[in-house]
Order: sequence, then structure tokens, then C-alpha cells
Amino acid sequence: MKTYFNSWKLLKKEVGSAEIIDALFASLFYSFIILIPIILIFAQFISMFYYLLNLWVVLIILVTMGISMLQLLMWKKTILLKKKFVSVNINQLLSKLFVIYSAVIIVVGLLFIFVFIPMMQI
Amino acid sequence: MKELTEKLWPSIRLLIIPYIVLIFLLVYRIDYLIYAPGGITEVESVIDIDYEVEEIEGSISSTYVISFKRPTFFQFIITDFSKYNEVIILPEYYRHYTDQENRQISFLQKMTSVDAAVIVAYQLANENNDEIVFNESSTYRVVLVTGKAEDLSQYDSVGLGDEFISMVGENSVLVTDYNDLDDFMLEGMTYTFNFKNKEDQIYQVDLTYEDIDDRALILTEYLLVDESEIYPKFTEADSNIGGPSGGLLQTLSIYNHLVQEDITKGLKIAGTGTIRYDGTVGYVGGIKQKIATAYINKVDLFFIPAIDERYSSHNYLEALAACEEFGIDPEGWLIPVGTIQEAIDYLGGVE
Repeated sequence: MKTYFNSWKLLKKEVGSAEIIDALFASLFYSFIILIPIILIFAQFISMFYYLLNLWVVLIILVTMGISMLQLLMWKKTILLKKKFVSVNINQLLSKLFVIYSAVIIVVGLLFIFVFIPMMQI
Repeated sequence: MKELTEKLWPSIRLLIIPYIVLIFLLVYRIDYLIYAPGGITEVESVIDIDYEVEEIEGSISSTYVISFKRPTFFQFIITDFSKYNEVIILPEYYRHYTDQENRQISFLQKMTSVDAAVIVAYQLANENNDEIVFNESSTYRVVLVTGKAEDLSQYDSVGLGDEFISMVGENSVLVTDYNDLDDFMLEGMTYTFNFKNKEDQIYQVDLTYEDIDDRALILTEYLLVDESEIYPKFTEADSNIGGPSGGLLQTLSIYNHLVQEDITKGLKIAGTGTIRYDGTVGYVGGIKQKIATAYINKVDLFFIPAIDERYSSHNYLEALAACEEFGIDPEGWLIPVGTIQEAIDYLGGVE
């Protein structure tokens, strides 16, 4: 864990906080652009095929994980576009972040399947 | 931001028009009505009767479908992917309603349907169980606003579900019976109506003779339950499912909670049909999707309104056609009933 935070500190030193945050916002902005139609498509598929709700939730979990991966890749790409040579292994840094994102997405998805959806069906 | 935009610009340029077209398909709504399968809801999870009976082994569930008024182009296209879904042109009288008004109408129908189910079930149970208290003073009449045409002169002033109280008619006569309204109105004139909203506040609205004569304001009379005059008490949980089509199954379930014998016999029972105050069963929409829903949820038997010659197309025949389409054997599974008593009698004969 300590090494992980040290890597972030090193990246901050090499690229700069403002640049990292700018890269983050850029990746979030484009991920959001992709996310809008996906949310609408899922909402409309769910409304038409409600009896397959659990299947949709599983697909939403997978797609959300895919988009979070895409966002992290765009974040990395932007950082590298800003500064070509970085000594820190960004892939390693972001893959740990991806594991955390995925864990949260899976937990929320399972909560929907086993708690919220059964509660909604009254 | 600038660096990523520059990098992605060739792709953005290529995709911007398909993206806008896709968003258009996903948000633009058209005047159709789509029925899709929904689910089944155990009635006892929605209506709780505070009365001790023997353990109920089976379950009684109402069946709901998803009805989409004014779907998007995208929904219209994808609905064809399922054999269970059905698209019809949205009836003219529905088109002007907003989503919120549609919800209000749907929940008003549900609320009055539950009261009708309670009335019928308590009356029936009262004949078999002396402990059940239900008499003439257990109900009261109300006249509610159940619809508004687009050309209603004071459209926004009258709320759906509000109660009609009275009208100040010709010669200042106070008319409280909505059936007599025409008798105290003159063509081209405007009269003051009194309504009561959901917060029990009385308000006044001036409506024209044409509003009433052309049925621009639709008033319907209902019987509601006075909970202080019945035993046992019941509570209705909040639910996000509306409409009156659960009436038959709600009545069956309430009845089952008021008599000692368990009529379910351990079966998973579902069905559809409205309930009238005299215990007869009324027709509903979305039959094909309800059959599909029951089939998907593996119910043991499904009650459906029996053929009623007053209608031109019949729920039972639609259900038989749906069974054939989905490969369901209707024998002993699809049970047509004309009254609640027929449903109880049928269950009484099940081994």
C-alpha cells in the first residue's frame, strides 16, 4: 500500500497535480459522453424485457466495468500525451484502481439482484 | 483535455452524426402503446389483513404487465425482438396525458380496485364467518374525477382523483348528484363546481355546460371502505404497480385471509380481471403479456375473465390464442371465471 501511494506521489511530482486532474476530467468527460446512450439503451431494454431484469443487471455490471476500464485507459493516455516519458508504471497504478472500481460495481450490482429488485417487485 | 480532444478528434468527427441520430432515437417519443410482460405480485405483500387464520400454504398473486405509453423510436424498434411484446396505436383520448397524469390515473384505478376487492371479499367472508364485520355503513359513495379531455375549459384547475362535491346550478340550486348535472345547466352557460382535493381542501372551478355535456370532464362513482366500520382492519402497502386488473386476485387473497379454510391448497395461483361490487369479473388489457408473465413465473393456475357477451373481443379467447402461441396446455391451467364465487368454487373442487 505504501509503495502504491509513493508511486502516486512520484507521478504527481513528475507530471504535476493540475495536469493529472485535467487528464482525469478529460477521461471522465469522454466516458460520460459514451455512458449517456448506454444508460438510455439499457433503461429502454429493461422496460421492454423486464422479465429478464437479473440478466440486464449482470450485463450492466459488465458494461460498467468496461466503461470504468475505458475511463482509466483514457486517463493514462492523456497523462502520456501531456508528458511522454514517465518513470512511474501508470498501468500498475491504474489497474489497482480498476480492481477497486470493479469490486464496488459488483457489490452494488449484487445488492440490486438480491435486495433492491425483490423489494421493488411489490 | 485539449490533448485528448486532439487525439480523438478524427473519431469524434466520424461518429458525431451517428451519435446524434442514436440520441434522437433514444429520446424522441411516438404515439404508440407497447405492452410487455411484467411480473407477479403476491397480494398479501401489498394488502395486509390483521386477522389470524390457519397457515396459508400456497400463494395468490396478481399479474402486472409493463405498458409503455408513447415509447421512444428505439423502444418501438426493439419491441419486435420479443414474441411476448405487442404494439398498438395510442388511443386518441390518452394522447394528451402527461406521464404524471397517466400515473395518477393508474394509481386511482388501483386504489378504487383495492376498495372494491375489500368490499366484495368482506361481504363474502361475512356469510361464512361471524367474526367478520361488514355492513351498509362500512362503505360510502364518492364521485371522482377519472379523466379530462384536452378541450376541458379549466384543464389545469381540476385535479385527477379529486372528489366532486357539488355544483351551483340554474336558479342557485345546489346539485350534489352528478347524474343530475345536465338538468340544472343551460347551453353556453358557466357554473361553479366544488371539488375536494387529496388534502381535503375544497376548491371552486367554473366549468361550462359543454364541459359536462361533451364529457370533457369524466366523473365516476365509486364505493370506498370506511375502515372504522369494518373488522378486521387492513393496511395497504405502498406499491409502484397501478391499474385495476388485479381486482379478482386481490379479492380472492383477502377472502382467503378472512376464512379458516385455506383455498389455495398449496398452489401458486395467479390471474387477472377487475372486480365489480356485485362480485362479477371485468375485462382487462395486455392478456398476451399476462399469460407470458404467468408462464415465465411458473404459476400452477391462472384465472381469466370468462366470455362476456357484452364485449366484442374476449379475454378468454385472447388467452387461449396466447397459450397456443407459447406452447402452454390451457387444460386445468387457464380457468375462466365470471364471478369471484366461481373462482372460490373452482378452488374448492381442486384436490
